[in-house]
Amino acid sequence: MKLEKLVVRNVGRYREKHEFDLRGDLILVYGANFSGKSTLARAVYFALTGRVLNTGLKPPALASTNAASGTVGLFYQHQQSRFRIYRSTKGEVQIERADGETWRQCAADAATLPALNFQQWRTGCFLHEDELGEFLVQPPASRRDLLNQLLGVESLLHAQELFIQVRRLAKRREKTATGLQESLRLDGLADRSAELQAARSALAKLEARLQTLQETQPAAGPDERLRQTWEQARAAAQTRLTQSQQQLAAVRAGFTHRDELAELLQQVTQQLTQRETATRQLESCAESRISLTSQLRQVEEMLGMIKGLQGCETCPTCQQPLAPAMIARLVEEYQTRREAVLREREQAAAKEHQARETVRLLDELAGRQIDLEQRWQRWQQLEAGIAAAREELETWETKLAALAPLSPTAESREKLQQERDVHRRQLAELERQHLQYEQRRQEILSANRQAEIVARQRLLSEWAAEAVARTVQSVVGMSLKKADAEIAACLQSFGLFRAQPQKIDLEKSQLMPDLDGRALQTLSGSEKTILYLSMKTALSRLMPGADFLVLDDPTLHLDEIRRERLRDYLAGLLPEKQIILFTNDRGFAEQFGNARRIDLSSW
Amino acid sequence: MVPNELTAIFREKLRDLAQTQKYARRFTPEQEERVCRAFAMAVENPSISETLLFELLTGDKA
Repeated sequence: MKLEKLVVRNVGRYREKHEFDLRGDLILVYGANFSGKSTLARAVYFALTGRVLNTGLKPPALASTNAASGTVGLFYQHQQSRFRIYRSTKGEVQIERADGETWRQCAADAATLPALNFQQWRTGCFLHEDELGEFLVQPPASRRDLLNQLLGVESLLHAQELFIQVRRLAKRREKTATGLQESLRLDGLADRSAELQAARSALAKLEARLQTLQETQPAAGPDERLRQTWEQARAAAQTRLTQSQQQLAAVRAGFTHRDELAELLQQVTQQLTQRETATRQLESCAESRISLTSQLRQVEEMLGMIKGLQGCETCPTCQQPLAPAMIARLVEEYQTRREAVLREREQAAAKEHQARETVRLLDELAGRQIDLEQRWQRWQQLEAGIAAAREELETWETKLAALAPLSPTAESREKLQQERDVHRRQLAELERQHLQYEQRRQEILSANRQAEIVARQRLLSEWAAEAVARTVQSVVGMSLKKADAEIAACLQSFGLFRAQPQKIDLEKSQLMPDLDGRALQTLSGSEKTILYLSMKTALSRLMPGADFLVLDDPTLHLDEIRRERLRDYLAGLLPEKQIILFTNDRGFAEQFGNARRIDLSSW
Repeated sequence: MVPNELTAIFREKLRDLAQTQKYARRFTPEQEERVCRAFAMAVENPSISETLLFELLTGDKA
């Protein structure tokens, strides 16, 4: 990218439209203090980035005093095409590509402007007056971020951070899986497969013996079949009897005999005969209280009316003269009546409350009566059922006793059947235990498999994260190695190394290299300027598109010898870099031979 | 540096590491390919979540 022309209007001290021809490899802009050199340097940066070169300022600060807005236009060559970009301090921007003699508007992309961020433009192409001070006060972390921005490795660093998070995720998963693996124990569960096999075999033998017995012995005779039927009937009667007895125990809770319940029911029924009387009494009390309330209201109204006549000479209705003594007597009389009625009403209210309570208790008693009646009926039914079941049971017992005793074959079969039932129960228990054992064993196997999988995933994530870290190291190191060598060579050419040339490590020193073991902050003004300039130049070579260098008063702090070396150094950068140099040092400016010169003192 | 160049360097580093005792003969070429794809995805898509990256890396749900 090469700059060709700068146009400013209403920017800083440039109120009118000013155009500056920047064609050529070296442009020397000479001007005394306050002649607008720094304004032009800022204008170039503003045109490219839309930002202000000095930190902390916003674009409107670039506009001339009292101007609504300032405009900067920059003409440049990029990838064999010519472009111009116009930007106003209000935020409007327009990029155009030259098409013969006409300009056509185009979008801002890598084809129209080098794909550099504002930091890369700032560090790669500009050295402005306050920059060194700003750089020195930055904390190491900010300088580290700046280095990463300059190298354009933010995406790689972000990827590194992501892979570190993935590794953490894999470790967490492994921890969870290991925890589950350790928590799963057999806890007394044992492999019962051998016992199970033995039990199944024993049961099979029993079943076979029973089968053989049934096949070899004749079928059960009529007595046998009858016995089985009666035994079933006896068992059913026994079940009914037991159930009825259990239900009766629940019904008779609180009573030892049915007569007690009957007696209580009778008492309750007798008490409930008083319920009608109590209800009538309640109604009477309520009526009495209402009547007394009405009387009280009348007496109070009368009393109020008589009190209203106090102090009047004549009656307001009939205009007859009034005697104050009579009025006072009437007031006293009605007050006495009022108190009497009030007392009576209170007594009536107390009686009403008592009667209401009695009615409530009798209502509760009525509920109890229903419950007792139901229990009484259920008791009767259950006793009848129990008597019937007992009778039936006795019948079946008698009938079974009358039958002939069991034959030896039947006895043997019954014994075998009982033995088989025991074996079946034992087998069922063994199967249950074995199932539990198998389930737990499967869980443990599954947890082991899962733990193996997550351990492999953790190793994979570590492999990837470690490789990303090495990639970052390699990419950053590869970029910086060349820059470090260039800085060292530059410092050597300026004669800044007092001892043997030392290695510059921008990454390790976080962009703030030492000089002969002295920190950048402790260097003299000239040493700082030279070191910083060489650092910028070296870093700018890592950024494709940063092909020009705008230097604002670079000779500040430099003595005659250093200025000559700076001149040689800058001349050595040509024509690789286009240099636009702003200076108030006429002697320094005149040291360059083939240069386009712009003298701001003539504007 | 474009993503393809970064991925090439990354692959080289993966292979270097695969020679070390810790990772020797632990991973298949398919796994290496998957890791490289996940890396390229992470470089090209800064908004990708670590859960998705884990899935891309391992082929399993996180």
